[in-house]
Amino acid sequence: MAQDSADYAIEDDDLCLDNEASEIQRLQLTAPVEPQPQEDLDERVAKIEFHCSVCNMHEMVHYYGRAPPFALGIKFREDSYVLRDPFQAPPPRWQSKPEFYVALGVKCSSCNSVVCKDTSCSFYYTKTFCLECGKVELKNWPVEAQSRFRKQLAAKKP
Amino acid sequence: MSYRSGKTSRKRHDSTRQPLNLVDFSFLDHKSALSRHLFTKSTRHPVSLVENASDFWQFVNKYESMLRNMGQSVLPSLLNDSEHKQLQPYHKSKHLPLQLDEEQVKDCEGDELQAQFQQLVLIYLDFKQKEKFNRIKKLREAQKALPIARFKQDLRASLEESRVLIVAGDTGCGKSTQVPQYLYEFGYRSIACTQPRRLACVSLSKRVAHELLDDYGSKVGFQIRFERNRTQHTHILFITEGLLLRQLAMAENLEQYDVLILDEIHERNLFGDFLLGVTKCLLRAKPQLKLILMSATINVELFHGYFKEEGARLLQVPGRLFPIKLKYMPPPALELKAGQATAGSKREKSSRLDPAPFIQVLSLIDQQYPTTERGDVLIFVSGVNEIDVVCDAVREYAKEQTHWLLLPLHSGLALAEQDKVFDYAPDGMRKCIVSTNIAETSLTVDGVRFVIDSGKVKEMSYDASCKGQRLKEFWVSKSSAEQRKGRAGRTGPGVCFRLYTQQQFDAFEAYPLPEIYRVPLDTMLLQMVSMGLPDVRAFPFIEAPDAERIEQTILSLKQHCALSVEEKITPLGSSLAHLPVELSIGKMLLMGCVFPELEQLLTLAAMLSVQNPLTTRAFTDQRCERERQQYESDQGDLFTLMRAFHEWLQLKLSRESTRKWCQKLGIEEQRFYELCKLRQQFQRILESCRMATPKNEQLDSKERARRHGELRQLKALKRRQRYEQPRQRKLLKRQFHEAEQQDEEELGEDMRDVDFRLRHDHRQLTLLARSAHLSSHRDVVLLKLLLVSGFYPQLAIADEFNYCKGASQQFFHTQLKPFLSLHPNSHFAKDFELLKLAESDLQEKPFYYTPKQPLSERHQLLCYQSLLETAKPYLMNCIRLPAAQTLLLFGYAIDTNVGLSRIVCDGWLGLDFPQPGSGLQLLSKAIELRRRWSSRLYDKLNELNNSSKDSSSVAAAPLPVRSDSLWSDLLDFMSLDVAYSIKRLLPADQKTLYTRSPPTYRLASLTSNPFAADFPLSVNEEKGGLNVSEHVVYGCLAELPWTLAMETALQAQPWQCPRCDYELEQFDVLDQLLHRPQCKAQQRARVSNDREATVAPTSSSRSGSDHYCESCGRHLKLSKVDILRHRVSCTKKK
Repeated sequence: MAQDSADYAIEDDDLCLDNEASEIQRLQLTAPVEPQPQEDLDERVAKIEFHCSVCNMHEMVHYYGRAPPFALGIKFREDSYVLRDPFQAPPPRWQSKPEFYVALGVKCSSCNSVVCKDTSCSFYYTKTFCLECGKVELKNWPVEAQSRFRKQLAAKKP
Repeated sequence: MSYRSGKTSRKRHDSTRQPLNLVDFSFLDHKSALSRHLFTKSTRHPVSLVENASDFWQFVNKYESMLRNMGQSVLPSLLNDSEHKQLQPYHKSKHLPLQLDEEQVKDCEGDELQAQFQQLVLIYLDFKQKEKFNRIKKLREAQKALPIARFKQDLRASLEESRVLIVAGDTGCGKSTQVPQYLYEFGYRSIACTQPRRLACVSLSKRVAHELLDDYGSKVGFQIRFERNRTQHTHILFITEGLLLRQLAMAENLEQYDVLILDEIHERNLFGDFLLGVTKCLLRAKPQLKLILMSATINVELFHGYFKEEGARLLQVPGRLFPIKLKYMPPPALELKAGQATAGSKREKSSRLDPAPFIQVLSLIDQQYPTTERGDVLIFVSGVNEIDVVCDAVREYAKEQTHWLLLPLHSGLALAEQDKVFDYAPDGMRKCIVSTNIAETSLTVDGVRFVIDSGKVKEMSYDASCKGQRLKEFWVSKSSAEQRKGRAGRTGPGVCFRLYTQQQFDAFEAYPLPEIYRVPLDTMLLQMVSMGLPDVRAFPFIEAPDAERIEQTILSLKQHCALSVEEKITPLGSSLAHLPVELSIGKMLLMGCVFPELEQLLTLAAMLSVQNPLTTRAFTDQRCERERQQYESDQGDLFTLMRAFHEWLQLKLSRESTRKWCQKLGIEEQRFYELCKLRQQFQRILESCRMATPKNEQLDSKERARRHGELRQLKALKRRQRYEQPRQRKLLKRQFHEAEQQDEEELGEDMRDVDFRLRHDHRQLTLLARSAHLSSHRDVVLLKLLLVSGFYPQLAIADEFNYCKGASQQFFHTQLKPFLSLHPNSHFAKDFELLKLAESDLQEKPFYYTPKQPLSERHQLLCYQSLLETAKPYLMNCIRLPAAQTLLLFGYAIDTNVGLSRIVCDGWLGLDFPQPGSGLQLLSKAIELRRRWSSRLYDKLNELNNSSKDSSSVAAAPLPVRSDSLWSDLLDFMSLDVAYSIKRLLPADQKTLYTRSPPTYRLASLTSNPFAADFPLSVNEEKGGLNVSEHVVYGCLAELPWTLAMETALQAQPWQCPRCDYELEQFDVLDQLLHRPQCKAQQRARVSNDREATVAPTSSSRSGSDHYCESCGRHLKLSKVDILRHRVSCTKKK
């Protein structure tokens, strides 16, 4: 009853979307669940630093590894820096959402420096190479991969 | 179990499958069979792997045709995990850094088609990943490209060295969006950034949240008057200047922020200037606080100098503007005027704006720039009327040149209309936006290539001499002209046409006049005092207003009892400072707190505080006028609006659409929503200082259940809207006026309505509707009383010759300014007869009353909310009131003669009471009521003050509202029928007004106060006579021939005390007063007053005996004295 009446005391704050996120969860969940706000919050906060060694792209990401808990149906072939998708509304707790992930970059497979996914910074063929390492490694690749790499180099932004 | 078999089948597939060839095959043909692979394996809640299935299928279609075109129609067989890691041989899928998670996706059971389809899903997901990555990357690149970005490290270094930093940069340099983010990156976690406008707070907070990739989080928030979305996780807060000021006024908020950013300080508005001074003081009190000031590159040295002693650093950031060609095109004055006359001038005014030069420029643009080159036109004129004039002309011009799309833009337009200027023009067409200076800084319209600047602006100025505002046209300042020009170069090179000469430009002022010189200072000064500033004169203004004006303001604050004589804040004053409204409205609310039906007052006060809900269209469109008719109240526009608001609430109650209804009446619905929010805010403030008791109307269980369902629904709607993209720019339609109706339909769910319903359950709505319903005359009169209590001394009296003049010749005078008009849109301007005395209202004058003013019981005064001078000086938002009663209840200085036949209020309105006893009756009643009212208020204020000092132990208990007869007594008083005449005193009258002599022997014989027993009598040294109450001086007015004649005439009449059997041989007022304190009946009445207070009318006792007058042959029910009086007048008539 007490919980109910809280629902009716519609104050300004209620509308100010303070608790919108938790409100939404409460409404969408069929069964009431013990709230664990702190834990919930933690997984939403980006705490891992990502810094592209080539272009200086700098972001905080949520996950580093191959299988982000928030990614639905996919895994990455390499350890990746992954962001929860900022362009979609977050899914309710314990639910997943399609394509709710954006991989920003990985460590170069040969020099181990962090690079972003930009075509000016890295190239993927079976694994990721920063462009500098790619130039060295390409001799071992099939010609199709080499030509694709060269094309990418040529299109590289100044 | 199932996936193990999946794995085994996958191992087999290479040898058994036939490759697919897209030449004779398409995945799209197997859509229904394959679609299940777009979902996860989980049987209970399968979730889609892709955000948007139709987008996916489109991708499939494009991808297939691409492969076909490239001659790669044979799909290569798929690789297994270990093959993926080998460099040789080449396989396209080795470029995919993703793989499907077998544990989650459905099994293909060795089917090549299904496996290839899953591969396609993977290619799609990888493609989408690249898209999203690029979106982020692009965002970052755009940020890096902003001029401010190069200064990021400078900013960091400056902040380490100094506590005050000034960032000066022109529009488009990115300071407003980037600086808060930089600070966040530097590690500041509690950043407040002020904005002069509410809208900017909202849009900036959205933008910055987006750039921080936190659209759906709460790192960035905003707080504006009616809304906030700040949470405990908010690190960057965009807040309006006024709100931050109120926050800083409370000591506990001082620790809240570690850095303050004041944006747009070059605008020099009142709050901005005030904030500068406050933060200057704050820097001293809080050594950890950092301050960043941001401005356009306007008068930067002023700010730099102001914070010199704090060691302010200055960072100048170049703007990003494309080159703009400047053309001075002054209209060749005479020949054009002649041309316009033939073109047909509809209106009479010669001072009317000539639209011809604007059209000339448009036609010049048509000649010189082909319509294939995009680019819109922005015209700056000074005001709404000017916009109409130019729009009429452009419309005419656009009949032939049909590629012009006309869009007016000013703050009076409905918000949806304003938004249209952001839409795109179709190819080959140009928008022509005709705007006030709202588009100079407040609104930024991209895509403008041509600016036409009239060089004029209408600006509000404040005239302290008449306490009125004036809206006048001026030349703009140089800096405004440059701002206007700059609007042409935001998206590409542009042209600016100035309709004045270079010489004129050179003579412009450098900067616009700061607002502090143009508005009343009372609210600001009161807030300063309440913030604890010991002497407002010592406030470190960046540019101080006139010392004279500060003194005047302090005086008026004292008159309102907001400040004590020692200029300390009074309980009333500190309560007033808490209310975010004009002083007068605040006072009204507080005065009304001792009023039992506070609900109605709250609604009324909120109505007075929002912008007029009636749009310009409401007065120009015949249909709106007709629709509004039924709500018109002859009590004035305020009451008409209350009726309309009540009807609106009724519609809400019956769940009907209000949007259309508002449209029909020409009402900007947003104002009504604001009104409700404001009202709620008032209520909360009054409750929080325990001036009002919270209403606890609980829903019963059935209602609660219904409400619960409703809430779920509403919240779902709200959630959907919240996650929707903001309004997208649309393509404008050619004839957008016809499309208007349709647009309304398309808008779908009315989010403001959803918001409103979330906030108000059925009970609350009913309560609100009741509060807007002024059913009885009693309600109206009481509210009027409360209105005047706030607005006094804003009164106006009709000109004495109004009775014989027409509508346009009706004039009114205030104490400070003569010859004012009613605003032409107001009800009283149309129905001005309401303010006149009817023939039947006039009363016969006694023979001794010789002045020519009419004698009546029906004299009225106007009480106005504000005084605004545009074309003429206008009284705004008037209500009408019985004159004498109002003056005696609210006047600051009330002076009388000994016989109480003459009363002068505040030295400018003279009341004559030639009927014996009527002056005494009215005045003593007024004094009594007024003292009861104010003691009630002060009891309450003091009680609150004491209890808040005591402890919190009693704090929870709300103060009871004593129910008694004060209000019904006030109502009785307002409707007392007393005949008098009223006259505006001229300076000549004022010279001989007072006796200025010490009290005569007879006056001195008054030893106890006959008007207010507990108010000690004292001699008034200045005017003469005796101070008999806080506001009344008895016996100081000099006698006039007619008052002497009246005295003589009355000497022939006896007088009997209406309460006891005391009799006087002569009708002598002083003797009557001498009797008062002795009168036992009076004393008894006074005692009972405090309990139930049924005060018998003073002289005309209603319980009289039946009497037959022989001379006029009528049966009369009169008291003894009245019989005598009647006899005198009856024989006189003969």
